[in-house]
Amino acid sequence: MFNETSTPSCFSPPTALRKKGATQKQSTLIVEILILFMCLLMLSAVALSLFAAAKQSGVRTAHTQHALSLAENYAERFAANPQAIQTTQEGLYNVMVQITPEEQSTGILYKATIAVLYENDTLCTLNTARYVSTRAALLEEERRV
Amino acid sequence: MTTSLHTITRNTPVRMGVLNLLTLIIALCLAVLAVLSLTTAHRSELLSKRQSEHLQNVFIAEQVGQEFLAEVDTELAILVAQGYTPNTMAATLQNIPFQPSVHQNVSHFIQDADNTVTATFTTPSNQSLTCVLTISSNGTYEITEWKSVKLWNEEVEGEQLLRTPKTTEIK
Repeated sequence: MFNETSTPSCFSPPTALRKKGATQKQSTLIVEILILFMCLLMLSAVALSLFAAAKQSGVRTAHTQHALSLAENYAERFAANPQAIQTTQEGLYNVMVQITPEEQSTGILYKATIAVLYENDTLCTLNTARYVSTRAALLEEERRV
Repeated sequence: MTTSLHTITRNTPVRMGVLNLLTLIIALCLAVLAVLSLTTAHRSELLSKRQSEHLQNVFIAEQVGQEFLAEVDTELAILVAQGYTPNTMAATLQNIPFQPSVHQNVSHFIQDADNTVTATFTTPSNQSLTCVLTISSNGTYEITEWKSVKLWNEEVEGEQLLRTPKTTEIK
């Protein structure tokens, strides 16, 4: 359209006007780029906050899973031997064990509350019990003798 | 001349350039990845809460079962002193007034057959513990079965894999 070799007509703009048009196009492009960049920045901010929330949730989940497996292990150990567990520090986790023995006429019913804490935040709590019969142990002893 | 410039600028179409396209693709990818990662993390968290809830219920049933053992042992000591046979002891144990000390809402069902006593404890969340005790002549018992299972209930709405946990959070 603006071919130099073509015959000048009343519709072909002169050089000054062409330069002005080109400058206007360039500034339009810069404005466009700036707007796009702004949009991208805003979207990145939103996306990054979502990623951060996802990361936090993932970390929380990992802590809960670890705490659950710790609590379960302690409960199983308690079931095997009620006096085998006590409050300990397991890495970053603090395992709180509270055992309450209840005397019965024929044995002892141990009740335990196992809580796993991470940075003073209780992640999980398990309540369990184990009955140890003294009568059965005595009878077994008599049978052996 | 002014008219021609106006015509040029007005007729210049707003086209989708490479830059626009690239930005659009980046924006779409970012948005999709962000939403996917958030939903995955959220679901994992819900799943771990469900696991916690399940573990709680398993040990609630365990606790009730152990309390039942204590009750049975006490009762057996009395019955053996009164000269009961294993079969009659089992039959008597079916009617013992057992009541869980802490978890009152755990239902229980006790039945006897010959010299065995079968007790089933079910928590409100359908976690069930079945224990079978074989009574011997000297008034002791032997645990022949101790089985903890989760009862499946299709009619309950919240039985889907990725259901939202209950509002009461169990810690």
